[in-house]
Amino acid sequence: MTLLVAETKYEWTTRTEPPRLSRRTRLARWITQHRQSLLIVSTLLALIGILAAWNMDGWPGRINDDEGTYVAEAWAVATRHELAPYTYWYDHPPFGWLTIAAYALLTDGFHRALTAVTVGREVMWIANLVSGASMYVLVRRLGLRRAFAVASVLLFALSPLSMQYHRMVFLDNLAVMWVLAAMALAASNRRSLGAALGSAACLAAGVLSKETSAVLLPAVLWTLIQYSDRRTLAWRLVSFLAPFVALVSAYPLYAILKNELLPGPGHVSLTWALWWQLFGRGSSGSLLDPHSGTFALARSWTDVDPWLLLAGLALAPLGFLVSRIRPAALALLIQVAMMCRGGYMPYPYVISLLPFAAIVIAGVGDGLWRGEWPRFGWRGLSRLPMAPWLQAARHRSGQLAVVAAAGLFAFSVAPAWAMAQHHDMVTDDSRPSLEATRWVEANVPRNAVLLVDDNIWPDLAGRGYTGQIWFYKADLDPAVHREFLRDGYRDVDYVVLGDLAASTINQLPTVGEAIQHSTVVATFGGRSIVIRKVIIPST
Amino acid sequence: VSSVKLQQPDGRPAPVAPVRTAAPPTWAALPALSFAAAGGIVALLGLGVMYILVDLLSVGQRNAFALQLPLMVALTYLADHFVTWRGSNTSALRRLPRFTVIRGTVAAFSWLYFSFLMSSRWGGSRQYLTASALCFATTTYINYLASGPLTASRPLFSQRRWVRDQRGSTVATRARWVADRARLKHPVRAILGVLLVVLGLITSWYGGFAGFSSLLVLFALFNCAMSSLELTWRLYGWRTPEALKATRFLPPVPVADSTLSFSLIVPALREEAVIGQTLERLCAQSHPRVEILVSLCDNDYGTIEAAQVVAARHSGRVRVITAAYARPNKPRQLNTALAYCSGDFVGVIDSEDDVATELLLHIEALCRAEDADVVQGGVQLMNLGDGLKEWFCVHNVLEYFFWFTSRMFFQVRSGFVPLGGNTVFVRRSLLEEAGGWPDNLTEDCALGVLLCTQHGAKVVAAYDPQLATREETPPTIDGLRRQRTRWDQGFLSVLMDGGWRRLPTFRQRFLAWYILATPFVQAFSGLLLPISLLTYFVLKEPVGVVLLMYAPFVPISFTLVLQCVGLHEFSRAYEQKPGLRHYISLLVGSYPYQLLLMVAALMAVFRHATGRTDWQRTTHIGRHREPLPTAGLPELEAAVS
Repeated sequence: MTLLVAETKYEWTTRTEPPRLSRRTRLARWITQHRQSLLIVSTLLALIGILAAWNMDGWPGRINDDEGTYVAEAWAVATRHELAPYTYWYDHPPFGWLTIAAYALLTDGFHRALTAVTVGREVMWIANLVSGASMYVLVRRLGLRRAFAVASVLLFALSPLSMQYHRMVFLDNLAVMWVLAAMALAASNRRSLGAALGSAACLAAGVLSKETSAVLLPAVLWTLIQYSDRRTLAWRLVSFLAPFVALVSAYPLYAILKNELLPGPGHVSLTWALWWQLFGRGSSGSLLDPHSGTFALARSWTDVDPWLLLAGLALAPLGFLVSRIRPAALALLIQVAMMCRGGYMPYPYVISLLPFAAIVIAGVGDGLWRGEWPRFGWRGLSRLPMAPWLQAARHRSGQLAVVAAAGLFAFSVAPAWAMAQHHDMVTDDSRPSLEATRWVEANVPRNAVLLVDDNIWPDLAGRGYTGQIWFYKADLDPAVHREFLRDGYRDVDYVVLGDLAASTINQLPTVGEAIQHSTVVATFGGRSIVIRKVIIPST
Repeated sequence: VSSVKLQQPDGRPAPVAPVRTAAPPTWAALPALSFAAAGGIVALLGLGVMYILVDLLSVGQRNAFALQLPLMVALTYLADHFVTWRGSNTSALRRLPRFTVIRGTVAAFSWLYFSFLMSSRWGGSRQYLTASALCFATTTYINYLASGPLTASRPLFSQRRWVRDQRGSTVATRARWVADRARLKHPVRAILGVLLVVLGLITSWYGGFAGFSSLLVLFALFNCAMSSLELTWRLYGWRTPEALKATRFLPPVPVADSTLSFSLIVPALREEAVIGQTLERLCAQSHPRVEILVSLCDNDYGTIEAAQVVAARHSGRVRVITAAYARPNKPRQLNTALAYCSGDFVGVIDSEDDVATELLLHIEALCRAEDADVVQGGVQLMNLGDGLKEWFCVHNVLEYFFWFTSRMFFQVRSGFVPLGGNTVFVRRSLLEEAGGWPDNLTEDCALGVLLCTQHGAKVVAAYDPQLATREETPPTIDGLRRQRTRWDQGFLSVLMDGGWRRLPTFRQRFLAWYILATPFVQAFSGLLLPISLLTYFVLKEPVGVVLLMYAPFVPISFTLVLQCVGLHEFSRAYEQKPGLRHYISLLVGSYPYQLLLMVAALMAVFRHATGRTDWQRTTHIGRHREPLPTAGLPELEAAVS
């Protein structure tokens, strides 16, 4: 046997993990460690919370029927234990309005609040506070210093676009909350499998709230890989992907169970709905075409606030140079690329652009402040020899750029945002809808057949009406036609709607006829809601 | 072949294992007899009451049965007290509460059972009498237990009256009574559990879908919790990079600095095919102070010969110890060899093991740095299986992989470690204090439990692919089934033995219980799984319920993917080349493999219940090894002849 001769004395190393502390000690330690961040986040959330809650119900008005649709679906879940008031046709996965329904049940929302939409808006308010907190955690984990982290949250929550879209009941708000949480978990410093699992669960919740979140999978995955150790990478990936796929497949499984996965005669189906959303629905055109609907929609966003979106987009290429925020830049660019694709562009699409634009802006600012510019990122570039004075000058110029941007913000952006904020806090645009509901309640019998918009629908349902019909369904849902409108428009008693576009009326013959054969009995908010009584011509 | 002398180095005769006298019969036959007589009379009375109520007073059959039940319960209680257990020293009042609970449950069950019988099969005249007799008969055994052993809070009889014990102290009686009751409790709990499930099923039969649905949801939640826990264990070793690092061995102690000495025991039975190579490899250990003791049966000539060949070549290191055993088993052979050990630490190596040559230097580093009493190293099966017949090998390999890379560390952290069968090193002083290995089918597990719970041993584990001991899977599927049955039976006996109850916290006790009961819980879960699948498509349950039934499949599919990643990682660490068929086998064969384990678990329960404790050795043919260099063979053969 050969004897090894030790050249150095054997040194003890220990591989034991630190002892597990009691829960209370760990909590106390955690609070001490994060007290600064806790203070900052609670202050931020208080500020954002107050600004967002002020006149939350009044502005924006009931301008988009989607709000009412989702709330009506939540109402159906809470009261009828069904996924939708009419046949559920897989318009979106139901987790979003299940969340709203759960909140409404817990807080007795549909009996307590002024209107059903108000309940939905409360949920949005909570979701956006959670998004703000997640975002702060995320950007801190991405390594941004506190000032820039605060800036990113403020940009995200206080831009006029946010003030408008974050208040409205859109599933995108819930989805964004889940995606941000997923990214924050993926970037956890412990690099644990549990965090990967949590991230997968959050992303799955996001996708089950709004299916479009699936396009952000690469960004979350990239974050996860960036924040994984090589030795445990395979386990992290499997801990993320397997539960994600398993959880998301609950949705198609539901369709299979109801025998509604594949299209067939006489029933709705998941695949048809997906096909319709992706290809069948009227295209809004590409962002690159100035005459397209998508371009007009994007113009409407930049009309509300050009700064956040355009600055984010402009800085996205620079964002790719800072390794930490590359996934966020990717998330932004994926979504912009989707806009250029030329499919149907939903109205609230902007919601999921906002957080990533804010992260990119703050991340690039942080990079500049640290003097990483133009050294950021790729190694080849950073190895270039550089004189010390040049380095210092570069560092200073970066900081100068950040200060200049802050100055520009203070003098040009902030005033505009403040004006918008003021407007949002004092304008009550929802009154007409509410007044119309009250008029109906006072003047129309409970068994009357009414064609209404979806914002009013759940309120009438909650007040004991049985014949209210969401006007789209009057022509598109055969079941509704069978139950209420065997005689077509003649069965309709009242029409409670704003003025509809001609193109919409062309799609909906029964509604058109009902309006044609009616007289106006009341108007609210200067024709923003008109109540018409249908007069059947004597033959 | 010369016989090996049974002597210790200093010439003392070898110690004889203590012989335990057979325990005297516990429950005299008399109470059972009088219970049967009294119970029979009460049952007849009950039937008489039924007849009067139904035929003469025209009370409904089910109501009549319900009415006579309390009467019967009260009568049996009196009969128990004054006839069956007459003279027992437990007061009648003290056992009333427990009696009421158990008999109440049983009565409710028998009423539902009666209703079930009457509604589905029977309905003709007087058939209710047969049905009630059947009801009484089905609950007899549990009623018997409820009548005395279970509900007594003290030994039922003072020692003078019934127990003829040679040693005869009251303390001994008391201890035996406690042991008896502990042994009785488990089957009774099992029976009560089954009764409850049946009760639930019958209730749901009457309660309609709501009841049945909630039962299904309960199944789903159980399966979900089970498979999630399993998942957590599999991933525990990799949960963070730091945790992974903490599972690795420390750098080895340089030879010049080493201070400890090791005794390695190699117990074997008819292993002449593999033991020579094992011993040769063991002799190559780089640690300077190692003695190897081969513990054999004195009539196992082939193995003795093979071992002596090696012993002759390494006379300082290898010793062959033989002894006569009426029924040889591993713990007995280990205990025989333990008496000859002189090292600071005693290690167990199986006869087919390929042990890394540097292992002991690493073990010493751990013993010294972490002041460990017990060190468990890694063990890894190596052969992934070739043909279709060996589909199970890859599953078995991965079981080992996840056990030693992950689950072992969870157990160490929880303070309850059923040790592995080999590559385990125990401080000799502690081992002697504990009285050696317990005579159990899984002596490794029992020893671990004993050391953890009663000797406060500090157990550490470490794993490195380079330092893992390499083994082979059982050669046939039946071999695997037999091996698993033996393990399960060992686990079951440790579970019933109840030593784990001494753990200080509830969490630890629960984990210990769960770790020991895992094979059986898994078997139950595996039984429920097809039911879940069926309900998907067959039953018209509410969609929400069916979606909940889907919940267990989230962790289960996760586990399947994890198996594939595990195979990939295993192959990378051990430089194996898995084929596509191995991955397919992992996915397709997962449930059949679980079925196999389920069969083993059931057989273990059966064997335990019937008191069979013999064991069959697992055959080893050396498939985990490279073929022997042919140059070495003639030399070996020459030495043998």
